Amino acid sequence: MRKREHLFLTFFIFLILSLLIVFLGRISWLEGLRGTLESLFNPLQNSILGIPKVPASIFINKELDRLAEENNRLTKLILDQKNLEKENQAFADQFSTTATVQLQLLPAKIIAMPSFVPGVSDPKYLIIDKGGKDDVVLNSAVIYKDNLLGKVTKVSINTSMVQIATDESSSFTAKTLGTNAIGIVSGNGGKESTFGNVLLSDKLEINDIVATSGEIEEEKVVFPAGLIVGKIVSVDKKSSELFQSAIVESSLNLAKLSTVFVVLGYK
Amino acid sequence: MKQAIALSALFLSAFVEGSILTIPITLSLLIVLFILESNNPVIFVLALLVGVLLDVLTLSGFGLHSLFFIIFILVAAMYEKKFEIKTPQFVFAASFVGGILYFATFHQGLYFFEIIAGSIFALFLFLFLLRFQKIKLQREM
Repeated sequence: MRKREHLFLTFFIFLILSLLIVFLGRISWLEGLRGTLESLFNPLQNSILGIPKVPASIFINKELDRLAEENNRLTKLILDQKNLEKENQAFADQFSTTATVQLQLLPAKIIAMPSFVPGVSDPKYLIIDKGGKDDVVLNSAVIYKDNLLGKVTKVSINTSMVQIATDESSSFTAKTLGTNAIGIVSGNGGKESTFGNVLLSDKLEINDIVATSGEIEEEKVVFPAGLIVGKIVSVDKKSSELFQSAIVESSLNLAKLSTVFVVLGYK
Repeated sequence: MKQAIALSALFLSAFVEGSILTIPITLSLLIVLFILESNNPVIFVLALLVGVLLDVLTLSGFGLHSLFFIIFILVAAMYEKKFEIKTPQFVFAASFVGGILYFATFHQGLYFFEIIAGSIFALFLFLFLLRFQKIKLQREM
C-alpha cells in the first residue's frame, strides 16, 4: 500500500514537471535548450539513417536504377522543352512574355527518414538539417532536381520536418503538361497520388506529366509552378460523374536521397 | 546499473524511432519495463527523459511525449489492482491501445501495421526479459 502511495506521489511530481516543460516550451523559454540538443543529436540521427542503406543496397538492381535515373533526366528535358515552347509562343504572340523564374534554393541534408521498413518502405516524412536560423519558414517547398518532394510542416531552430507530397494529408493544385488539364493532387501514400477534380471536358492521357501550377496560399506561392509531381499511370473517367481523375506515380526514390533543396524564394 | 541499462536502451530506441522507424518501439519498451518492474517510481524518470529526447528528434512540442508516457504508465498501473499485469496478454493489449493513442495524438492518423508491429515487439521483448529474470532468480536461489 505504501509502495503504491509512493508511486502516485512520484507520478504527480513528474506530471507537474512535464506540464511545466510543456508550458515553458509553449512560451519559447526552452528554445535555446532545444537548439543545443538538436545540434548534439543531429549527427547521431544522421549516422543511424545510414544503417538501413547498407543492407538495402544488396537488393538494388543497378540496371533498374540507371533506367530510373535516365527516366528522370528525360522527364526533366520534356519539362524544359514544354517551357521553351510556351516562351516561344508568348514571343510570337507579342501579347505577353514569360519571365524565367529563378528559385532561391537552400541545400539541406536529410537526417531522418522514418518508415515501416527502413530502406525499403517509403518514408512518411523527412527531417532535414536546416531550420529557422537558415531562414526556412513553414510551407516552404522542398524539391529535388525539378521534382516536387513536399513542403515544410514544422520548423525548429536547426531542423525542419518535410511532409512528402504523396502523403495522405497532402493536397495542392497541378496541371498536365501535355493537355493543360487543371486539377488537385491528393496523396495516397507511398509513391502514388490522385489527380482529381479534373473537368470532364479536359483531356487526361497516360504517361502525361503532372506538374505544379503555382499555388498561392495567404498571398504566398507555396509550390512554384512547373515542379514535376509524376506521370499519369491510369485514368478514371465516367461520363455519369462531374469530374474525372487519374493516378499519378512519382519517379522519385526517396530512400536513395541524401540532399534536397528548400525553396526560400525567388531571385 | 539496471536503471542505466534501461535508460541506454530507451535512448537507443528513441534514436531509432526518431531516425528510421515509425514503429513505436520506445512506448513498447517503456510498457515492458514498467510491467516487469511494477511500482518502481524510476520508470517516471525514464519516461520524462526519453520523452524530451523524442520531442527534440521528432520536432514535437517540448514535454508532450513525456506527458503522454507518464499518464499512460499511470493508467496501466491502475489496472494492476484489477488484473494480473505480468502476462503476455496484458503486455500486448497495453501496447496495442498505447499505440492507437500514440498515433492519434502525435501523427493524426492510425498506422495499423506499425501498431501491430509495436505490440508484437513488446510481447517478444517481455517474454525474453521475463525468461531472463526467471533464470536470474533461479541462480540466486
